[in-house]
Amino acid sequence: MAQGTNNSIFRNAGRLTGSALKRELSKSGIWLVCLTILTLVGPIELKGLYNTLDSLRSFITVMQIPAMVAMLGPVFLNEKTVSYAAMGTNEMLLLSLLLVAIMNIFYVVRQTRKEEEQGNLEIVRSLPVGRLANLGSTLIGAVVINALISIVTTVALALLHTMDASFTFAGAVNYGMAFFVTGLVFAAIAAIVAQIASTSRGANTIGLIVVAVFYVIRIFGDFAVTVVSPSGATIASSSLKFMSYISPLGLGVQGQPFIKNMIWPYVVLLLAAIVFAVIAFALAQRRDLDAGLIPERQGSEHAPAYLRSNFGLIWRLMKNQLIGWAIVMVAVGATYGSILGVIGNFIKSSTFFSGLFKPVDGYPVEMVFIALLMVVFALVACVPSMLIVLKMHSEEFNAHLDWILTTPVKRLRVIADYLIYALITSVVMVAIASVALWLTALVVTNGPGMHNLWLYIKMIAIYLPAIWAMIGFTAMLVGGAPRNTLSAWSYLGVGFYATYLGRVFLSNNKHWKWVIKISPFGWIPEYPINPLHVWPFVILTAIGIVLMVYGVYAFLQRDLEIG
Amino acid sequence: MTVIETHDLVKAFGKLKALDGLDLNVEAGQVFGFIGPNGAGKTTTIRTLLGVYKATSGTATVFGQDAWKDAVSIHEQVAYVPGDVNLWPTMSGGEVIDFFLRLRDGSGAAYAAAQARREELLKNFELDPTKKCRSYSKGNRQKVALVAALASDTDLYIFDEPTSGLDPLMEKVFQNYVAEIKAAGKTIFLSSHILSEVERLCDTVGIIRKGKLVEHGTLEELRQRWEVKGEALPSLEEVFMKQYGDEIHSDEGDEENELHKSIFAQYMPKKKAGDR
Ligand SMILES: Nc1ncnc2c1ncn2[C@@H]1O[C@H](COP(=O)(O)OP(=O)(O)OP(=O)(O)O)[C@@H](O)[C@H]1O
Ligand SMILES: [Mg+2]
Repeated sequence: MAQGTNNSIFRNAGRLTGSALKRELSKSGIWLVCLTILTLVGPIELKGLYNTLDSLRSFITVMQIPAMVAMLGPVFLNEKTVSYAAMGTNEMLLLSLLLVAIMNIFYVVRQTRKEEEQGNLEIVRSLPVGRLANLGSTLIGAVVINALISIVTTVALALLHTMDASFTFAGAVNYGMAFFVTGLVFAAIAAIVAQIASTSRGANTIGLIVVAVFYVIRIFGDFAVTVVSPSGATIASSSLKFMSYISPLGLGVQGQPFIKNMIWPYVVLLLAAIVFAVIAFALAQRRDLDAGLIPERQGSEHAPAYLRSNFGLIWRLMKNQLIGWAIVMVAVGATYGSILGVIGNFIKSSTFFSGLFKPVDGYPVEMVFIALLMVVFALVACVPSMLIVLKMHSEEFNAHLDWILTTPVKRLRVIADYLIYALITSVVMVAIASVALWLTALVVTNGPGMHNLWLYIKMIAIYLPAIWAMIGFTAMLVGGAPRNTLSAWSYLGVGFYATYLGRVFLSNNKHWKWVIKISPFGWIPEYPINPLHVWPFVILTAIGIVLMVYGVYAFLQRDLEIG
Repeated sequence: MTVIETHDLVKAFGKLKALDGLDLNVEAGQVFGFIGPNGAGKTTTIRTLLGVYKATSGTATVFGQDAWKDAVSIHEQVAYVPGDVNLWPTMSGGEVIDFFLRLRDGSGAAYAAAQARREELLKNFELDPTKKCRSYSKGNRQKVALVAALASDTDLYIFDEPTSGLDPLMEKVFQNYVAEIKAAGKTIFLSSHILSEVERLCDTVGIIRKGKLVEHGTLEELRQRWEVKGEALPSLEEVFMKQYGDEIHSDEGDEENELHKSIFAQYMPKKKAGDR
């Protein structure tokens, strides 16, 4: 009834969608390109690496390594159903869905709370536009964007039919549907979060935490499915299998594209998205513009004692985030530490794995295995350091830095503070990770040589020069190219795939081996499997220093960029 | 003694010259009113004087020191209120004020004095320092910056449209403090669109248009310069509009705007308006 009248709370939602979509196109376009590349790279890479189905079969066991399952999701393939399409998508679907989820969180928060904070919606709401029109148009926009992504990936996969017959149209459609429904679920979740959180930053943080929790929850369920199969070594009991299904990310991969092409998981997800959206609308009706349902906490009347310099300000602004990252490091350390306890038996019980992982120089096979994972620690530990350097950039754009610089504070001092902070943070994060790993190893292992704290520190700390090079790269952008700072994340992301996945898939491939070295992390040897040489560390540290010096120099020369 | 001096100052953003040969002079103890149309270059001037922007050419000095190279030592004696006050959303107003006072005075007697002034200012501006900055209204955000600036004891105060969000009572409170600072012999640089305020507070006025200083002098000099025989001395608003309208008439490039023309006609000297 109210729907058609002039006072409809959704009035003009359609027109808003149009303008919102236009604003979004540039931002979502980049995600679209990344997701399409990610979708295509797996299958094409496999086809290049394993030219017979038999060699492909041997790879199934690699995918079943717990660390791989934890990251890439459950393995639905078996000897019979194996095909390039099935394996390529099985390997990439979960990571892609993770990106789709993050994209949707950012999109919805940007269109709702961010716009409100910047005051843009105040003007819009004073026009003849319904109260729920903005949330409505944001979600319609989400449907359009997710549909677009799903269509593009479907078409891209279907076109691979010319490369290999296993890329069936039905499978491609099924794969695209996974993107569509998972994206909508997270858009609707973000819509709820956006009503609750008190700021757009808070909404983004809560949204990302929800994504992370769902990503971790499914690990328990996925282990229950796969780890039992080849060797009988059980990491989690199968009663945990339901945990794969209560996470949208876990459920999103259950359609098994190119294997079973099932629809029911998508129907469930779509229903969930609708339910979440309805909840979001109900909450939105009770909320004021630019305020969350969680009330704002009172601040303190005076500044804490440490807030007396730019250095103190950085701690004031980054404190919560850094504590959060420290917890993440503990969690990652403990997760991999716990793998140490079971991986030994797992490897020994499989002839394939005992061929792949052999004790090196008297180091137990567990150590050899964990050495391959160290790059993940390093990549995670790199993020908070980069966040600190990029914080300077957002301080500059938000017109805080120019105000501080009108007091007797040197420019050099300001940028040096941020860089010193980033460097200290890199060391602290690495230390936390190695101690967490060591403490867990103390509990879960009893093998000789597994309780050596110094060894763990060494295994992770050798990545510090790579982190410093990344800090340097970020500093170069912040100082010298302040309008292109997003490239820092792109480079880290590309480096992650190039190094982590590259080492798994490409290290024996003569022609493509160099890809691993695109990122500074690829230059660090996997100690203790490979011996340490001094020169990569010297070179990476030197590159880091040169880039930082350049960033500082450029910053001292230029206008501040405001707004 | 000259406190602020620019000579042939140019600041270009790409092709656009926001400042186009600006010559400015502010003496110690003056309350200098800086007025001009939107986009004329007031904020750009202030940011260049504060070393936020680097001058493209020309010179800008404060206390006889180079605005870019000697920024830090200049800033020891400058308090500034930005035009758009952007505060840290997660910090309270009280935290921000303390932070700025400590950046300037650190600790000791000067800091204690600043804290005492802070309490008085908070009371007179009716500002609650425990609120998170993101929930302050525009006027209250401005008050945070004003308290931080007015609580510090410096030789030069630079205000960029400090009262654009204040209610009439708070505007009076601000004017009271400016009078107090002026009486103490400090120099004040005030950019504003509220001409009655400039008239009340400032002894010297400069008008900037398209990056050039087009009028400069004491309030009296300006009014006499634009006096029309047989009429009362013009107000600052009348001076501003006459000057603006005059320039537009003589600018060949500017397209005619009927509404502007009819508005200017009310301010133009009779004979000039008739000439056209
Ligand atoms: N960082 C910048 N990059 C590019 N152009 C700029 C920049 N800052 C200012 N400008 C331009 O310089 C001109 C002068 O701007 P400025 O902000 O100094 O004007 P203003 O006199 O303060 O105006 P208002 O009365 O509206 O505050 C404008 O045309 C503006 O668009
Ligand atoms: Mg301005």
